[in-house]
Amino acid sequence: MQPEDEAVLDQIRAAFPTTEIPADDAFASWGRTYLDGEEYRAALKGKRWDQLDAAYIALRSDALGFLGTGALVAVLPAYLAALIEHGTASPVPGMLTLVLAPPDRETNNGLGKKRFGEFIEAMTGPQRAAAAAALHRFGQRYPETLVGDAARAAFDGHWKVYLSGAGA
Amino acid sequence: MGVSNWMIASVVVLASSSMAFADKLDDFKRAVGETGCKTIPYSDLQDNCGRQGDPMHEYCDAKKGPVTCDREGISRELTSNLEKEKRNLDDLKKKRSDLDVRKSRSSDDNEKNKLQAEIDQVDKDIYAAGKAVDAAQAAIDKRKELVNNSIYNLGKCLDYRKAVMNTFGYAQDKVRGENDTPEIAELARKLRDMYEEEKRGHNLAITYKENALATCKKETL
Repeated sequence: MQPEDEAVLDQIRAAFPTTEIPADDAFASWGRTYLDGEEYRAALKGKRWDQLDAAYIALRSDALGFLGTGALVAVLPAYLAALIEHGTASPVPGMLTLVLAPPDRETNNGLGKKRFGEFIEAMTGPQRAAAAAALHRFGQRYPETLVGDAARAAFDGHWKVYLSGAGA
Repeated sequence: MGVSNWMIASVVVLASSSMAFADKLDDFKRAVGETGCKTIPYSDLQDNCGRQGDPMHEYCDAKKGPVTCDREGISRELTSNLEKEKRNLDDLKKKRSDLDVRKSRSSDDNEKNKLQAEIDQVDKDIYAAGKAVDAAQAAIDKRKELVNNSIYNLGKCLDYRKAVMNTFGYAQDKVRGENDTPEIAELARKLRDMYEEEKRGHNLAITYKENALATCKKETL
C-alpha cells in the first residue's frame, strides 16, 4: 500500500467514532423491502465499524441503497476503507460511488435529494473530508475505468469542497 | 326463495365476507410489521418474491460463478503482453537462424565453438520465451473464461433482481385498490408508500450490477 493510501485510511480512522453501530432500526426508513435486511442487521449488531466482517459487507454492498441515514453514516468508514484497501478487486466501489454521487436536478439519481441531503447533514466536517479524500484517491488510482470515472464525478460534483475543510 | 331463506343466505354471505375481511386485515397487519418478501400481503406474490430471491442470491452472490471482471484494461494489458512475448520469441528465432548461418560459413574452429555456445544460450532463451508465450496465452484464456462467465452470471443476476423489484411493483399496484374496510385501506396506503419509497434502493442495486456488466462487456476478448 502506498503512503497516500495510508494517509487516507488514517483520516477515515480519525474521523469516524469506534462506537457500536445502531443496528436495530438500520432498515426501518428505507429498506424494509431489502431481502437481506435481517441478515445484514444481524451482521452489524454489537459491532463497531472496524469490527465488521469485511467480506460480508462487501458482498452486501447493495445494502447501502436501503440503509437509514444514521446506519449509513455508521457503516460508511468500513466501505471507504474497502475502497482504498481493495480497489477495483472489491465489489464495493461500484455501489459506493452510486450512493456518494450527488443527485442531479433532472434525474434525482443516487440516494435522491432528500436522503442525500440528510446524509450530508448527519456527517461531521472531518467525516465529509474523509469521504472526499477516499473518493479523490480512488479516482486518481483508477483512471479510465467506469468506477474511477464515477468517483471523480462524485468528487468534482460535490465532495471536493470538503477536502480542504472549507465546506466542513 | 322465501323471505326466511333469503335472510339466511344474506347472513351466510355477510358472515363469510367479514371472515374474509378479517383474514385480509391480518395479512395486511402482518405485512406492515414484516421485512423483505413478507412485506407483501398476498401469498401468491410473496411466494413469487421468494422464488425470485433465491436464484437472485445464487447468481448475484457469485455462488454460481464470478460476477466481477475487476477493472477495465486488464484484457488489453494481457493481449499486449502476449504480443510482446510473441515478438520476443520471433526475435530469438531470427537470432538463432542468423547464428546458424554465421556458424555454417565460418572456417575458424574457435569462432564456431563461440557461435555454438551462443546458439546453445539462444536455444535456452527460445525455450523460456516459448513458455512465456504459453503463459501469456493461458492468462488470456483464463481472462476470457472469467469475462464470459461473469457476463452470463451478471445477466442472470439482473434478471432475478428485476423480477424481485417487479414483484414489489405488482404488490404496489394491487394494494392501491384495497379499500374493503377503512383499516385495510389505511394499511394498504402504508404499504403502497413504502414500496414507492424503496424503489430507489432496488433501482440502485440494479444499476450497480448493470455497471458491473458494462465493465465486463468492455473486457470481452
